[in-house]
Amino acid sequence: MESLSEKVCIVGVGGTAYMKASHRTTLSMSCEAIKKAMDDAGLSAREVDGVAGFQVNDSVRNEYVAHALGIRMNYGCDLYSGGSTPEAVALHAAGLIAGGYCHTVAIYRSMNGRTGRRMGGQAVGGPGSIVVDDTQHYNQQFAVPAGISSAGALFGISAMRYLHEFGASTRTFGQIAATFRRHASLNPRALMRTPITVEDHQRSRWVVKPFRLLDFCLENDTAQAFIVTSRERAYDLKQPPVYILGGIARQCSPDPAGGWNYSRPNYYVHSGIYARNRLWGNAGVRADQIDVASIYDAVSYCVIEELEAFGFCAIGEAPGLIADGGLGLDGVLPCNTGGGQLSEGYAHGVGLINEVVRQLRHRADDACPGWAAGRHSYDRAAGCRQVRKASLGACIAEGGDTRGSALILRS
Amino acid sequence: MAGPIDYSTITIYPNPDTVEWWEGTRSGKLLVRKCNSCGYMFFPPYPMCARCNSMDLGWHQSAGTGIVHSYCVIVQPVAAAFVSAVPFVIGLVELDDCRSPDGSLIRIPFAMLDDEDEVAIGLPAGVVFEPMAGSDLVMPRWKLKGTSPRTWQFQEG
Repeated sequence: MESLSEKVCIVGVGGTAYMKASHRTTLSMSCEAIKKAMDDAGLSAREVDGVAGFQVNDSVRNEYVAHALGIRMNYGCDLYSGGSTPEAVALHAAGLIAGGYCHTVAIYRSMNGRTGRRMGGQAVGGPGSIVVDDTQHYNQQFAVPAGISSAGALFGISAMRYLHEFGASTRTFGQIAATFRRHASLNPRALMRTPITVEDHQRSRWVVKPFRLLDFCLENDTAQAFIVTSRERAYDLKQPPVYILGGIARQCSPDPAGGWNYSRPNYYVHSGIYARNRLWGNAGVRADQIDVASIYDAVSYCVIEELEAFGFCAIGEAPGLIADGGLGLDGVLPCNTGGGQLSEGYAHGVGLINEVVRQLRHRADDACPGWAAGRHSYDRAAGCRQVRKASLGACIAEGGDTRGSALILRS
Repeated sequence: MAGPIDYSTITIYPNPDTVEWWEGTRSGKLLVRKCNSCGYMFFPPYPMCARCNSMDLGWHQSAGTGIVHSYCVIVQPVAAAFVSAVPFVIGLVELDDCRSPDGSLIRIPFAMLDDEDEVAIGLPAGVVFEPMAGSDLVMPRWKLKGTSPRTWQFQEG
């Protein structure tokens, strides 16, 4: 089988603002996000022939988005899933493009995640009633009455065991939150831009012990999108292409059990550990070669388990890497450089990918006057958030401890 | 102090794969699936054995005792059922008598009756059954029973 490496590129990124209350439909936000991604690429709607979204029964279907934009699709899809889905959809599109089934695909996530359907089952006005529907998540009828209806509870059980196994401290969680907030302070799109300290994190209120308020991703309304096309078409477009070297699409642990599988050995180790040899082998690069990364952050702890499982450090060693400033803009693995979902905004991972693309183009939209031409000062105090050397990128994502995806990118 | 759970705001429809499990809790039994072909035990009760793909499945009645393997403490409720219950502990208990021939085991998370300052990893716990108001279903909870020389408790900070 011939490798797909570097045959397909990300050529456009865009999104709406991250909003507390959009007062808009998910269709309206999808159209704006995809239009901005097309403009970024220098593409018209007539030159796009695929629209692929994902959702958890909380968003508009792809055919309406295509119709509204005037895109005639050769490929359309909606996946039912959240975290770690956009990387997977990009790989589906890469295969379809390489196979000649379509040529240019817009990938989007649109959600009124604060004023519409909130993640974790909470109603718009606060705690609500729950009717358990087992058609999608087979464990819910046992999990919900046990008190597990949120990501915080799911990850909290894993994180607690991790703290026990490795003698780690919640100060590590605070270091992650403070690092990403520092990045967000340099990002005009970020919802939360006021810098925080580890002490601020330690003083924030408990939500699900061992997690505090500042351990959690944001809840917001937004749509974010990116566009993939073939290498040949990418040459004629506006932006320097970002090549897809490889990836992993929604891999699982051996006993996935829908995000709830505490019966497998070492359940605090993310399932990425089972797929990382395939991932890095396929991409033809090693974890220690990555210049800039996005790591899916539903809660701060996710970053620890993904760093370890995907091989950026050994199991139990992420706290050391993080304490040494490893995730900062000038660290060994600059990570969630736009602030991540803890501080920039939440779009089930699409915003994370878009930031890595901006970094790999060397066009992070920061305070540097020449950023759009790729000219940066690297002076953090002056507002520069561009990573100095950014040619290899990794987008690592998870949808619970038992599932994950990744995209390895090169500029 | 953990308060009561208002189960009337949670609606559950047992299905053909799970109805016997819910019948079990109603008669005070904690059941896990046991494969009649290979002996593999598992939970939740899926309709097929993941080890040998047999659909010839029975039940193993667990004694409902085990060791707390991990836990978390819900402080902010997201479901109405738990508004009066917070703060409460969700305990992950590794069952004593559910090891399969291949060494696999079963850990199940339920809400605990004990307060967070009492709960620690390593402590023994047992199942207690609680009727769910608003339905005829009965939900298991964990309750600490006994002590252990080696325990670990979450230290804030």
